[in-house]
Amino acid sequence: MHLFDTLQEGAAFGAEELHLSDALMERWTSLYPDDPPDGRMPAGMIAVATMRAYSSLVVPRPPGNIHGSQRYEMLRRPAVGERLTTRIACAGKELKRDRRWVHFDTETVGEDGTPCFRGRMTILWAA
Amino acid sequence: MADGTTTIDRLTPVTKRIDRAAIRLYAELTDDFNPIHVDPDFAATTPMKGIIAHGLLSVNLLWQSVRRSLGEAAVSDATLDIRFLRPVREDDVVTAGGQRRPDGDGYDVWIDNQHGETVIAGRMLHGAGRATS
Repeated sequence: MHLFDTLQEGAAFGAEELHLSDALMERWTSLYPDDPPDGRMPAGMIAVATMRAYSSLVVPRPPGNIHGSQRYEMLRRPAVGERLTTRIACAGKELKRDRRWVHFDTETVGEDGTPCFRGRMTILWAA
Repeated sequence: MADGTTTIDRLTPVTKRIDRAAIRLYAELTDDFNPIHVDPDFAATTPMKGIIAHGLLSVNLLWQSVRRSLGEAAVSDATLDIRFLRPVREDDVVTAGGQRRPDGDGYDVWIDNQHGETVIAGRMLHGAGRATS
């Protein structure tokens, strides 16, 4: 279990691949029908890539963590069909007013290795 | 549709009801099955006193608002920096919008619930502006 006391700044958790398949895009547009099919990943799907990396790589986690803040930097919108790779690392942690905050940095690159987007998520850690 | 160089004062609002089906589908899309989002019994024991939606579920409405208002180019070259201020509960109706900052450096953006409470707030920069963030 990744507890606040044991999480280490700079720790890398590895990489997670996401295929922007037609099936995935269909599921996304079933939730957000207004996202246009222009052959590119809708911007909101940054969250799919980064949260899948967080969910599958930063494990096990204590139940009840809460997302506190998020920064995303879009560099390019990948093409539908592309395979993305997202890396995630612990960028730091801090205790403020008895609340445990953990920061994670993510970077997602496309098949050719060029960056697509970067993120910084801050999580209120439950334990 | 506007192109990426367009500047307007107010972003077009985008609204969505966040029901349990939407929360479940978002959990599947993101592989985020945190019980606070999907387990009513667990969620009832937390300070939230019930299921809350993933914060990022609503954030797509911000991206949509920017796209509708400023065009695709503004989305493809944007930095979004937000804080989750209040929980979004199932069946809340949330509306995303934004206002051009007085200093002209991007937009203040927000998502409000049906009670007029701001649940998410932050800033969006695009183009060269984000270099100064």
